[in-house]
Amino acid sequence: MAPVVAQIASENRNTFAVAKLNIKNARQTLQKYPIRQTPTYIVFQDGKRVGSFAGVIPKAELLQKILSVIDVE
Amino acid sequence: MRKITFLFLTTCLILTNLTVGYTQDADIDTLRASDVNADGVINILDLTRVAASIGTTPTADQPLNPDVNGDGTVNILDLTRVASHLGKTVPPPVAFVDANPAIGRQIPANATIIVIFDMSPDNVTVNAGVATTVDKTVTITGPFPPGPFDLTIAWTGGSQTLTYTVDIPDIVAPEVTGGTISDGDKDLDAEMVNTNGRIEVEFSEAVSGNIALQTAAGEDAGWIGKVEGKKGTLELVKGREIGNETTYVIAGQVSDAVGNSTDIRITFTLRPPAAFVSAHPASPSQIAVDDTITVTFDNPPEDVRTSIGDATTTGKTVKITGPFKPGPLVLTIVWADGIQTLNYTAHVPDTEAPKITSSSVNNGDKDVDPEALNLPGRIEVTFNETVTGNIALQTAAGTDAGWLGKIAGKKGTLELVRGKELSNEITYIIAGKVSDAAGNSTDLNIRFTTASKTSGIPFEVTDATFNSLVLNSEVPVLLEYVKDG
Repeated sequence: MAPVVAQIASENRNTFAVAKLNIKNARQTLQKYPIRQTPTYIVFQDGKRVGSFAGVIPKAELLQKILSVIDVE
Repeated sequence: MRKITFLFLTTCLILTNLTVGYTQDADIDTLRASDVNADGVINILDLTRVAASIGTTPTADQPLNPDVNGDGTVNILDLTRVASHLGKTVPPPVAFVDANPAIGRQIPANATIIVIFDMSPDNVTVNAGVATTVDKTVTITGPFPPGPFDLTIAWTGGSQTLTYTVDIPDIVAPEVTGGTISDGDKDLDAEMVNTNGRIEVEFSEAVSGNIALQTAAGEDAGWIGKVEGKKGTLELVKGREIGNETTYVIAGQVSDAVGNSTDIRITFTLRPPAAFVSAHPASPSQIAVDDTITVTFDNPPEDVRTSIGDATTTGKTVKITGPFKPGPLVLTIVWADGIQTLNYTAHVPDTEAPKITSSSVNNGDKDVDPEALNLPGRIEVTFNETVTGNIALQTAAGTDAGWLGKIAGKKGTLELVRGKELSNEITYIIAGKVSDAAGNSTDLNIRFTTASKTSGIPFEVTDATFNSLVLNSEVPVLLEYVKDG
Protein backbone atom coordinates (compact mmCIF):
# COMPACT_ATOMS: atom_id res chain seq x y z
CA MET A 1 0.00 0.00 0.00
CA ALA A 2 1.26 3.38 -0.94
CA PRO A 3 2.10 5.73 1.95
CA VAL A 4 -0.32 8.31 0.56
CA VAL A 5 -3.16 5.85 0.95
CA ALA A 6 -2.27 5.31 4.56
CA GLN A 7 -2.23 9.08 5.07
CA ILE A 8 -5.59 9.49 3.37
CA ALA A 9 -6.98 6.76 5.58
CA SER A 10 -5.78 8.45 8.72
CA GLU A 11 -6.81 11.94 7.75
CA ASN A 12 -10.31 10.95 6.56
CA ARG A 13 -11.22 8.28 9.00
CA ASN A 14 -14.45 9.96 9.84
CA THR A 15 -15.50 10.02 6.22
CA PHE A 16 -14.51 6.69 4.83
CA ALA A 17 -12.49 3.61 5.61
CA VAL A 18 -9.62 2.22 3.66
CA ALA A 19 -9.14 -1.47 3.08
CA LYS A 20 -6.65 -3.43 1.08
CA LEU A 21 -7.26 -6.61 -0.87
CA ASN A 22 -4.41 -8.90 -1.74
CA ILE A 23 -5.30 -10.16 -5.17
CA LYS A 24 -3.57 -13.45 -4.46
CA ASN A 25 -6.09 -14.24 -1.77
CA ALA A 26 -9.21 -12.80 -3.32
CA ARG A 27 -10.16 -14.84 -6.24
CA GLN A 28 -13.88 -14.62 -5.68
CA THR A 29 -13.78 -10.91 -5.19
CA LEU A 30 -11.68 -10.45 -8.28
CA GLN A 31 -14.19 -12.44 -10.24
CA LYS A 32 -16.93 -10.15 -9.08
CA TYR A 33 -14.93 -6.93 -9.26
CA PRO A 34 -12.13 -7.62 -11.80
CA ILE A 35 -9.19 -5.23 -12.34
CA ARG A 36 -6.54 -4.86 -15.00
CA GLN A 37 -3.66 -3.46 -13.00
CA THR A 38 -2.43 -2.59 -9.60
CA PRO A 39 -2.86 -0.36 -7.88
CA THR A 40 -6.53 -0.07 -8.58
CA TYR A 41 -8.96 1.62 -6.21
CA ILE A 42 -12.65 0.80 -6.01
CA VAL A 43 -14.96 2.83 -3.82
CA PHE A 44 -17.93 1.07 -2.19
CA GLN A 45 -20.81 2.71 -0.46
CA ASP A 46 -23.97 1.15 0.83
CA GLY A 47 -22.95 -2.18 -0.72
CA LYS A 48 -22.39 -0.80 -4.18
CA ARG A 49 -19.41 0.18 -6.23
CA VAL A 50 -19.63 3.91 -6.71
CA GLY A 51 -16.25 4.58 -8.37
CA SER A 52 -12.87 3.18 -9.37
CA PHE A 53 -9.45 4.57 -10.20
CA ALA A 54 -6.31 2.84 -11.50
CA GLY A 55 -2.66 3.68 -11.47
CA VAL A 56 -0.45 5.72 -9.26
CA ILE A 57 -2.38 8.86 -8.42
CA PRO A 58 -1.09 11.79 -6.38
CA LYS A 59 -2.58 12.09 -2.89
CA ALA A 60 -4.64 15.19 -3.48
CA GLU A 61 -6.00 13.94 -6.78
CA LEU A 62 -6.85 10.59 -5.29
CA LEU A 63 -8.70 12.17 -2.39
CA GLN A 64 -10.60 14.43 -4.74
CA LYS A 65 -11.65 11.47 -6.82
CA ILE A 66 -12.82 9.57 -3.77
CA LEU A 67 -14.82 12.46 -2.35
CA SER A 68 -16.38 13.08 -5.73
CA VAL A 69 -18.01 9.65 -5.80
CA ILE A 70 -19.14 9.15 -2.23
CA ASP A 71 -22.17 10.65 -0.72
CA VAL A 72 -21.00 12.44 2.39
CA GLU A 73 -23.67 13.11 4.99
CA MET B 1 -86.49 103.95 154.69
CA ARG B 2 -84.75 101.38 156.82
CA LYS B 3 -87.36 101.87 159.50
CA ILE B 4 -90.10 101.37 156.98
CA THR B 5 -88.43 98.22 155.72
CA PHE B 6 -87.90 96.89 159.19
CA LEU B 7 -91.50 97.61 160.02
CA PHE B 8 -92.61 95.82 156.91
CA LEU B 9 -90.46 92.88 157.70
CA THR B 10 -91.84 92.67 161.14
CA THR B 11 -95.38 92.79 159.80
CA CYS B 12 -94.57 90.09 157.29
CA LEU B 13 -93.06 87.95 160.01
CA ILE B 14 -96.16 88.21 162.05
CA LEU B 15 -98.37 87.40 159.10
CA THR B 16 -96.17 84.55 158.13
CA ASN B 17 -96.21 82.98 161.53
CA LEU B 18 -99.93 83.00 161.38
CA THR B 19 -100.04 81.18 158.00
CA VAL B 20 -97.33 78.55 158.55
CA GLY B 21 -98.40 75.02 157.69
CA TYR B 22 -100.97 75.46 154.95
CA THR B 23 -99.03 76.96 152.10
CA GLN B 24 -96.72 73.97 151.40
CA ASP B 25 -98.36 73.38 148.02
CA ALA B 26 -96.75 76.39 146.41
CA ASP B 27 -94.75 76.03 143.20
CA ILE B 28 -91.44 74.32 144.01
CA ASP B 29 -89.51 76.72 141.81
CA THR B 30 -91.07 79.67 143.61
CA LEU B 31 -90.23 78.12 146.94
CA ARG B 32 -86.64 77.49 145.93
CA ALA B 33 -86.32 81.08 144.73
CA SER B 34 -87.73 82.28 148.01
CA ASP B 35 -85.28 80.15 149.95
CA VAL B 36 -82.64 82.71 149.13
CA ASN B 37 -79.96 81.32 151.43
CA ALA B 38 -80.83 77.77 150.24
CA ASP B 39 -81.04 76.31 153.75
CA GLY B 40 -84.28 74.44 153.02
CA VAL B 41 -86.51 76.80 155.03
CA ILE B 42 -88.04 80.16 154.06
CA ASN B 43 -87.68 82.38 157.09
CA ILE B 44 -86.54 85.70 158.34
CA LEU B 45 -83.02 85.04 157.16
CA ASP B 46 -84.23 84.97 153.57
CA LEU B 47 -86.21 88.18 154.12
CA THR B 48 -83.12 89.81 155.58
CA ARG B 49 -81.03 88.86 152.56
CA VAL B 50 -83.63 90.33 150.20
CA ALA B 51 -84.03 93.43 152.29
CA ALA B 52 -80.29 93.93 152.38
CA SER B 53 -80.19 93.87 148.61
CA ILE B 54 -83.12 96.17 147.89
CA GLY B 55 -82.32 98.31 144.90
CA THR B 56 -79.61 96.04 143.48
CA THR B 57 -79.75 94.29 140.10
CA PRO B 58 -78.06 90.85 140.48
CA THR B 59 -77.50 88.59 137.53
CA ALA B 60 -79.70 85.53 137.06
CA ASP B 61 -76.88 83.07 137.67
CA GLN B 62 -75.73 84.68 140.86
CA PRO B 63 -75.71 82.19 143.72
CA LEU B 64 -78.15 82.97 146.55
CA ASN B 65 -79.89 85.37 144.24
CA PRO B 66 -82.15 87.83 146.16
CA ASP B 67 -84.07 88.68 142.95
CA VAL B 68 -86.72 86.17 143.92
CA ASN B 69 -89.23 86.93 141.16
CA GLY B 70 -86.45 87.18 138.59
CA ASP B 71 -87.48 90.61 137.23
CA GLY B 72 -83.88 91.90 137.35
CA THR B 73 -84.26 94.19 140.37
CA VAL B 74 -84.46 93.49 144.08
CA ASN B 75 -87.40 95.44 145.45
CA ILE B 76 -90.46 95.25 147.59
CA LEU B 77 -92.00 92.65 145.31
CA ASP B 78 -89.24 90.24 146.18
CA LEU B 79 -89.76 90.95 149.87
CA THR B 80 -93.48 90.31 149.46
CA ARG B 81 -92.77 87.01 147.59
CA VAL B 82 -90.52 85.72 150.37
CA ALA B 83 -92.85 86.93 153.07
CA SER B 84 -95.74 85.07 151.48
CA HIS B 85 -93.85 81.79 151.92
CA LEU B 86 -92.34 82.36 155.31
CA GLY B 87 -92.18 79.20 157.34
CA LYS B 88 -92.34 76.85 154.38
CA THR B 89 -89.79 74.14 153.88
CA VAL B 90 -88.17 73.61 150.48
CA PRO B 91 -87.43 70.01 149.42
CA PRO B 92 -83.83 69.37 148.29
CA PRO B 93 -83.27 68.96 144.46
CA VAL B 94 -83.16 65.51 142.81
CA ALA B 95 -79.54 64.55 142.42
CA PHE B 96 -77.78 62.41 139.80
CA VAL B 97 -76.24 59.31 141.31
CA ASP B 98 -74.75 57.12 138.59
CA ALA B 99 -74.87 56.15 134.93
CA ASN B 100 -74.34 52.86 133.17
CA PRO B 101 -72.31 52.64 130.94
CA ALA B 102 -70.06 54.85 132.98
CA ILE B 103 -69.23 58.29 131.77
CA GLY B 104 -66.31 58.33 129.36
CA ARG B 105 -66.93 54.84 127.96
CA GLN B 106 -67.23 53.85 124.32
CA ILE B 107 -70.76 52.81 123.47
CA PRO B 108 -72.47 51.50 120.37
CA ALA B 109 -74.83 53.77 118.52
CA ASN B 110 -77.83 51.79 119.64
CA ALA B 111 -76.72 51.55 123.25
CA THR B 112 -79.05 51.87 126.24
CA ILE B 113 -77.87 54.23 128.99
CA ILE B 114 -79.32 53.83 132.46
CA VAL B 115 -79.16 56.85 134.78
CA ILE B 116 -79.83 56.50 138.49
CA PHE B 117 -81.04 59.43 140.71
CA ASP B 118 -81.39 59.68 144.46
CA MET B 119 -85.05 60.40 144.04
CA SER B 120 -87.51 60.10 141.22
CA PRO B 121 -86.84 63.01 138.90
CA ASP B 122 -89.58 65.05 137.28
CA ASN B 123 -89.78 66.46 133.80
CA VAL B 124 -86.81 64.49 132.51
CA THR B 125 -85.61 65.54 129.09
CA VAL B 126 -82.57 64.36 127.02
CA ASN B 127 -80.81 65.91 124.06
CA ALA B 128 -80.60 62.58 122.21
CA GLY B 129 -82.41 59.29 122.36
CA VAL B 130 -85.59 58.49 124.18
CA ALA B 131 -85.83 58.72 128.01
CA THR B 132 -88.15 56.59 130.10
CA THR B 133 -88.40 57.25 133.80
CA VAL B 134 -89.32 54.55 136.27
CA ASP B 135 -88.97 55.68 139.88
CA LYS B 136 -85.34 56.69 140.38
CA THR B 137 -84.19 55.19 137.07
CA VAL B 138 -84.14 56.86 133.71
CA THR B 139 -83.47 54.60 130.73
CA ILE B 140 -82.24 56.37 127.61
CA THR B 141 -82.15 54.42 124.36
CA GLY B 142 -80.33 55.36 121.18
CA PRO B 143 -79.54 55.70 118.43
CA PHE B 144 -76.87 58.19 119.33
CA PRO B 145 -74.74 60.13 116.85
CA PRO B 146 -71.34 58.51 116.17
CA GLY B 147 -68.18 60.06 117.54
CA PRO B 148 -67.70 62.13 120.72
CA PHE B 149 -71.12 62.53 122.29
CA ASP B 150 -72.42 64.64 125.23
CA LEU B 151 -75.71 63.32 126.57
CA THR B 152 -77.43 66.01 128.57
CA ILE B 153 -80.20 64.99 130.96
CA ALA B 154 -82.30 67.74 132.45
CA TRP B 155 -84.88 67.34 135.17
CA THR B 156 -86.64 69.57 137.55
CA GLY B 157 -84.04 71.00 139.75
CA GLY B 158 -80.99 69.88 137.88
CA SER B 159 -79.20 68.62 134.86
CA GLN B 160 -76.28 66.35 134.12
CA THR B 161 -74.08 65.91 131.07
CA LEU B 162 -72.73 62.45 130.36
CA THR B 163 -69.80 62.23 127.95
CA TYR B 164 -69.41 59.17 125.75
CA THR B 165 -67.78 58.10 122.50
CA VAL B 166 -70.30 56.49 120.22
CA ASP B 167 -68.99 53.79 117.90
CA ILE B 168 -69.17 54.43 114.20
CA PRO B 169 -71.55 51.77 112.94
CA ASP B 170 -69.95 48.85 111.08
CA ILE B 171 -71.55 48.64 107.69
CA VAL B 172 -68.49 47.26 105.92
CA ALA B 173 -68.63 43.64 104.92
CA PRO B 174 -65.56 41.52 105.60
CA GLU B 175 -63.10 41.29 102.73
CA VAL B 176 -60.60 38.71 101.59
CA THR B 177 -57.22 40.31 102.20
CA GLY B 178 -54.90 37.50 101.29
CA GLY B 179 -54.24 33.83 101.49
CA THR B 180 -52.48 30.92 99.93
CA ILE B 181 -54.25 31.35 96.61
CA SER B 182 -55.57 34.51 94.99
CA ASP B 183 -58.58 34.84 92.76
CA GLY B 184 -57.53 34.38 89.16
CA ASP B 185 -54.35 32.46 89.89
CA LYS B 186 -53.40 30.36 86.88
CA ASP B 187 -51.31 27.32 86.19
CA LEU B 188 -50.82 26.40 89.83
CA ASP B 189 -48.89 23.23 90.46
CA ALA B 190 -51.41 20.70 91.72
CA GLU B 191 -48.67 18.68 93.35
CA MET B 192 -47.54 21.71 95.31
CA VAL B 193 -51.09 22.45 96.47
CA ASN B 194 -51.59 18.84 97.49
CA THR B 195 -48.23 18.66 99.21
CA ASN B 196 -49.08 21.73 101.25
CA GLY B 197 -52.38 20.06 102.07
CA ARG B 198 -53.80 23.32 103.32
CA ILE B 199 -55.28 26.39 101.67
CA GLU B 200 -55.74 29.52 103.75
CA VAL B 201 -57.94 32.56 103.13
CA GLU B 202 -57.37 35.70 105.20
CA PHE B 203 -60.13 38.20 105.98
CA SER B 204 -60.12 41.86 106.96
CA GLU B 205 -61.84 41.11 110.27
CA ALA B 206 -62.96 38.28 112.44
CA VAL B 207 -65.69 36.34 110.73
CA SER B 208 -67.84 33.30 111.02
CA GLY B 209 -69.33 31.25 108.24
CA ASN B 210 -68.37 28.49 105.88
CA ILE B 211 -65.80 27.78 103.22
CA ALA B 212 -65.40 24.91 100.78
CA LEU B 213 -63.27 23.80 97.85
CA GLN B 214 -65.33 23.08 94.78
CA THR B 215 -64.85 22.15 91.16
CA ALA B 216 -65.87 24.59 88.46
CA ALA B 217 -69.11 22.63 88.20
CA GLY B 218 -69.81 23.31 91.88
CA GLU B 219 -69.05 19.83 93.15
CA ASP B 220 -67.37 19.63 96.53
CA ALA B 221 -63.74 18.63 96.24
CA GLY B 222 -63.83 16.98 99.65
CA TRP B 223 -61.48 19.27 101.55
CA ILE B 224 -62.48 20.24 105.10
CA GLY B 225 -63.36 23.91 105.36
CA LYS B 226 -63.22 25.89 108.58
CA VAL B 227 -63.67 29.60 109.38
CA GLU B 228 -62.18 30.94 112.57
CA GLY B 229 -61.13 34.45 113.55
CA LYS B 230 -59.76 36.24 110.57
CA LYS B 231 -58.89 33.04 108.73
CA GLY B 232 -60.57 30.41 106.66
CA THR B 233 -58.78 27.12 106.08
CA LEU B 234 -59.27 24.18 103.77
CA GLU B 235 -57.59 20.96 104.80
CA LEU B 236 -56.85 18.16 102.38
CA VAL B 237 -58.52 14.87 103.11
CA LYS B 238 -56.32 11.97 102.07
CA GLY B 239 -57.45 10.61 98.75
CA ARG B 240 -59.07 13.86 97.73
CA GLU B 241 -56.00 15.44 96.18
CA ILE B 242 -56.83 17.94 93.50
CA GLY B 243 -55.61 17.61 89.95
CA ASN B 244 -58.34 15.82 88.07
CA GLU B 245 -59.89 19.13 87.14
CA THR B 246 -58.35 22.24 85.70
CA THR B 247 -60.43 24.87 87.49
CA TYR B 248 -61.29 24.97 91.18
CA VAL B 249 -63.25 27.47 93.27
CA ILE B 250 -62.91 28.37 96.95
CA ALA B 251 -66.52 29.20 97.77
CA GLY B 252 -68.45 30.13 100.86
CA GLN B 253 -69.94 32.93 102.86
CA VAL B 254 -68.62 34.72 105.94
CA SER B 255 -70.15 37.36 108.19
CA ASP B 256 -68.69 39.79 110.70
CA ALA B 257 -69.99 40.37 114.21
CA VAL B 258 -72.71 42.79 113.10
CA GLY B 259 -73.92 40.59 110.30
CA ASN B 260 -72.23 42.12 107.32
CA SER B 261 -71.62 39.19 105.01
CA THR B 262 -69.43 38.42 102.04
CA ASP B 263 -69.70 35.71 99.46
CA ILE B 264 -66.33 34.11 98.82
CA ARG B 265 -65.44 33.01 95.33
CA ILE B 266 -61.75 32.51 94.64
CA THR B 267 -61.23 30.83 91.30
CA PHE B 268 -57.93 29.31 90.31
CA THR B 269 -56.68 26.97 87.65
CA LEU B 270 -54.14 24.22 87.80
CA ARG B 271 -51.46 23.78 85.25
CA PRO B 272 -52.61 20.94 83.01
CA PRO B 273 -50.30 17.92 83.29
CA ALA B 274 -47.91 17.44 80.39
CA ALA B 275 -47.74 14.06 78.70
CA PHE B 276 -45.11 12.82 76.28
CA VAL B 277 -46.34 12.82 72.69
CA SER B 278 -43.41 12.09 70.41
CA ALA B 279 -39.69 12.38 69.87
CA HIS B 280 -37.78 13.25 66.76
CA PRO B 281 -35.68 11.37 65.76
CA ALA B 282 -37.97 8.56 66.83
CA SER B 283 -36.85 6.18 69.52
CA PRO B 284 -35.16 3.82 68.93
CA SER B 285 -33.07 5.03 66.01
CA GLN B 286 -29.62 6.13 65.03
CA ILE B 287 -28.61 9.71 65.52
CA ALA B 288 -25.51 11.73 64.94
CA VAL B 289 -23.54 12.71 68.00
CA ASP B 290 -24.35 16.36 67.34
CA ASP B 291 -28.01 15.83 66.51
CA THR B 292 -30.78 17.71 68.30
CA ILE B 293 -33.54 15.56 69.74
CA THR B 294 -36.92 17.28 69.77
CA VAL B 295 -39.48 16.00 72.26
CA THR B 296 -43.09 17.11 71.99
CA PHE B 297 -45.65 17.14 74.83
CA ASP B 298 -49.39 17.71 74.80
CA ASN B 299 -49.00 20.57 77.28
CA PRO B 300 -46.02 22.69 78.28
CA PRO B 301 -43.91 20.60 80.66
CA GLU B 302 -42.41 22.01 83.87
CA ASP B 303 -39.07 21.34 85.53
CA VAL B 304 -37.64 19.44 82.60
CA ARG B 305 -34.38 17.62 83.26
CA THR B 306 -32.49 15.22 81.06
CA SER B 307 -29.92 12.56 81.87
CA ILE B 308 -27.75 13.66 78.95
CA GLY B 309 -27.40 16.85 76.95
CA ASP B 310 -28.88 20.29 77.43
CA ALA B 311 -32.65 20.73 77.42
CA THR B 312 -34.38 23.89 76.24
CA THR B 313 -38.12 24.10 76.71
CA THR B 314 -40.25 26.26 74.46
CA GLY B 315 -43.97 25.83 74.91
CA LYS B 316 -44.80 22.19 74.34
CA THR B 317 -41.41 21.40 72.82
CA VAL B 318 -38.17 20.41 74.49
CA LYS B 319 -35.00 20.43 72.43
CA ILE B 320 -32.14 18.34 73.74
CA THR B 321 -28.76 19.08 72.26
CA GLY B 322 -25.54 17.10 72.51
CA PRO B 323 -22.89 16.43 71.72
CA PHE B 324 -23.66 12.85 72.65
CA LYS B 325 -21.12 10.13 73.12
CA PRO B 326 -20.90 7.70 70.22
CA GLY B 327 -22.55 4.39 70.93
CA PRO B 328 -25.74 3.33 72.70
CA LEU B 329 -27.54 6.32 74.18
CA VAL B 330 -30.23 6.04 76.86
CA LEU B 331 -31.80 9.46 77.28
CA THR B 332 -34.09 9.90 80.28
CA ILE B 333 -36.33 12.94 80.38
CA VAL B 334 -37.91 13.83 83.71
CA TRP B 335 -40.50 16.57 84.09
CA ALA B 336 -43.00 17.60 86.74
CA ASP B 337 -45.62 15.16 85.54
CA GLY B 338 -43.69 12.18 84.30
CA ILE B 339 -40.63 10.45 82.96
CA GLN B 340 -39.74 9.12 79.52
CA THR B 341 -36.78 7.10 78.32
CA LEU B 342 -35.56 7.32 74.73
CA ASN B 343 -33.06 4.94 73.19
CA TYR B 344 -30.66 5.88 70.42
CA THR B 345 -27.39 4.87 68.95
CA ALA B 346 -25.20 7.88 68.44
CA HIS B 347 -22.64 7.87 65.69
CA VAL B 348 -20.09 10.26 64.34
CA PRO B 349 -21.72 12.22 61.57
CA ASP B 350 -21.05 11.28 57.97
CA THR B 351 -19.53 14.29 56.27
CA GLU B 352 -18.07 12.49 53.32
CA ALA B 353 -19.71 12.73 49.94
CA PRO B 354 -20.40 9.56 47.96
CA LYS B 355 -17.60 8.46 45.67
CA ILE B 356 -17.62 6.63 42.36
CA THR B 357 -15.86 3.32 42.73
CA SER B 358 -16.32 2.05 39.20
CA SER B 359 -18.03 2.92 35.95
CA SER B 360 -18.63 1.44 32.51
CA VAL B 361 -16.76 4.43 31.19
CA ASN B 362 -14.39 6.70 33.03
CA ASN B 363 -14.10 10.41 33.04
CA GLY B 364 -11.79 11.45 30.22
CA ASP B 365 -12.10 8.23 28.22
CA LYS B 366 -11.55 8.73 24.49
CA ASP B 367 -12.12 6.56 21.48
CA VAL B 368 -14.79 4.68 23.32
CA ASP B 369 -16.37 2.22 20.95
CA PRO B 370 -20.01 3.22 20.97
CA GLU B 371 -20.99 -0.31 20.06
CA ALA B 372 -19.35 -1.55 23.24
CA LEU B 373 -21.98 0.46 25.09
CA ASN B 374 -24.84 0.15 22.63
CA LEU B 375 -24.63 -3.59 22.49
CA PRO B 376 -25.26 -4.26 26.21
CA GLY B 377 -27.48 -1.17 26.19
CA ARG B 378 -26.44 -0.32 29.73
CA ILE B 379 -23.95 1.97 31.38
CA GLU B 380 -23.32 1.51 35.10
CA VAL B 381 -21.79 3.79 37.72
CA THR B 382 -21.07 2.25 41.13
CA PHE B 383 -20.74 4.28 44.34
CA ASN B 384 -19.07 3.52 47.65
CA GLU B 385 -22.33 3.87 49.59
CA THR B 386 -26.03 3.83 49.12
CA VAL B 387 -27.20 6.94 47.39
CA THR B 388 -30.30 8.61 46.02
CA GLY B 389 -30.49 11.14 43.24
CA ASN B 390 -30.55 11.28 39.51
CA ILE B 391 -28.36 10.31 36.59
CA ALA B 392 -28.63 11.11 32.90
CA LEU B 393 -26.63 10.76 29.70
CA GLN B 394 -26.11 14.04 27.93
CA THR B 395 -24.13 15.41 25.03
CA ALA B 396 -21.45 17.99 25.68
CA ALA B 397 -24.01 20.60 24.66
CA GLY B 398 -26.25 19.50 27.50
CA THR B 399 -28.81 17.74 25.33
CA ASP B 400 -30.25 14.60 26.86
CA ALA B 401 -29.12 11.54 24.97
CA GLY B 402 -32.35 9.77 25.77
CA TRP B 403 -31.05 6.94 27.93
CA LEU B 404 -33.10 6.06 31.03
CA GLY B 405 -31.27 6.98 34.21
CA LYS B 406 -31.94 5.32 37.57
CA ILE B 407 -30.31 5.39 40.99
CA ALA B 408 -30.81 2.43 43.28
CA GLY B 409 -28.70 1.37 46.22
CA LYS B 410 -25.05 1.88 45.41
CA LYS B 411 -25.57 1.88 41.67
CA GLY B 412 -26.60 4.29 38.98
CA THR B 413 -27.65 2.85 35.63
CA LEU B 414 -28.33 4.26 32.21
CA GLU B 415 -30.50 2.08 30.00
CA LEU B 416 -30.48 2.43 26.24
CA VAL B 417 -33.75 3.38 24.66
CA ARG B 418 -34.09 1.89 21.18
CA GLY B 419 -33.12 4.42 18.56
CA LYS B 420 -30.98 6.38 21.03
CA GLU B 421 -27.75 4.48 20.43
CA LEU B 422 -24.49 6.30 21.00
CA SER B 423 -22.88 7.75 17.89
CA ASN B 424 -19.26 7.90 16.90
CA GLU B 425 -16.97 10.75 17.76
CA ILE B 426 -19.35 12.42 20.17
CA THR B 427 -18.49 13.69 23.62
CA TYR B 428 -21.03 12.45 26.14
CA ILE B 429 -21.44 13.34 29.78
CA ILE B 430 -22.87 11.11 32.46
CA ALA B 431 -24.39 13.86 34.57
CA GLY B 432 -26.49 14.04 37.70
CA LYS B 433 -26.31 14.35 41.42
CA VAL B 434 -26.40 11.74 44.15
CA SER B 435 -26.64 12.12 47.92
CA ASP B 436 -26.02 9.76 50.79
CA ALA B 437 -28.27 9.32 53.82
CA ALA B 438 -26.50 12.12 55.65
CA GLY B 439 -27.17 14.49 52.79
CA ASN B 440 -23.66 14.61 51.50
CA SER B 441 -23.89 14.98 47.75
CA THR B 442 -21.73 14.45 44.72
CA ASP B 443 -22.20 15.92 41.28
CA LEU B 444 -21.72 13.43 38.47
CA ASN B 445 -19.68 14.61 35.52
CA ILE B 446 -18.15 11.71 33.62
CA ARG B 447 -17.09 12.90 30.20
CA PHE B 448 -16.15 10.42 27.48
CA THR B 449 -15.79 10.60 23.78
CA THR B 450 -16.76 7.86 21.38
CA ALA B 451 -14.37 6.68 18.74
CA SER B 452 -14.51 7.66 15.12
CA LYS B 453 -16.37 5.44 12.73
CA THR B 454 -13.09 4.15 11.41
CA SER B 455 -9.79 3.68 13.01
CA GLY B 456 -7.94 5.53 10.30
CA ILE B 457 -5.78 2.47 9.71
CA PRO B 458 -6.27 0.51 6.55
CA PHE B 459 -7.43 -2.99 7.19
CA GLU B 460 -7.09 -6.13 5.12
CA VAL B 461 -10.00 -7.74 3.39
CA THR B 462 -10.32 -11.29 2.12
CA ASP B 463 -13.00 -13.08 0.20
CA ALA B 464 -14.39 -14.24 3.54
CA THR B 465 -14.64 -10.78 5.02
CA PHE B 466 -15.36 -8.78 1.91
CA ASN B 467 -19.09 -8.69 2.34
CA SER B 468 -19.10 -7.80 5.99
CA LEU B 469 -16.28 -5.32 5.96
CA VAL B 470 -16.88 -3.69 2.62
CA LEU B 471 -20.32 -4.22 1.28
CA ASN B 472 -22.01 -4.04 4.70
CA SER B 473 -19.90 -1.18 6.01
CA GLU B 474 -21.78 1.78 7.33
CA VAL B 475 -19.15 4.05 5.90
CA PRO B 476 -17.82 4.25 2.38
CA VAL B 477 -14.81 2.02 1.82
CA LEU B 478 -11.90 2.70 -0.48
CA LEU B 479 -10.66 -0.74 -1.47
CA GLU B 480 -7.09 -0.80 -2.78
CA TYR B 481 -6.12 -3.81 -4.78
CA VAL B 482 -2.55 -4.73 -3.95
CA LYS B 483 -0.21 -7.44 -4.92
CA ASP B 484 1.62 -9.19 -2.07
CA GLY B 485 1.20 -6.72 0.58
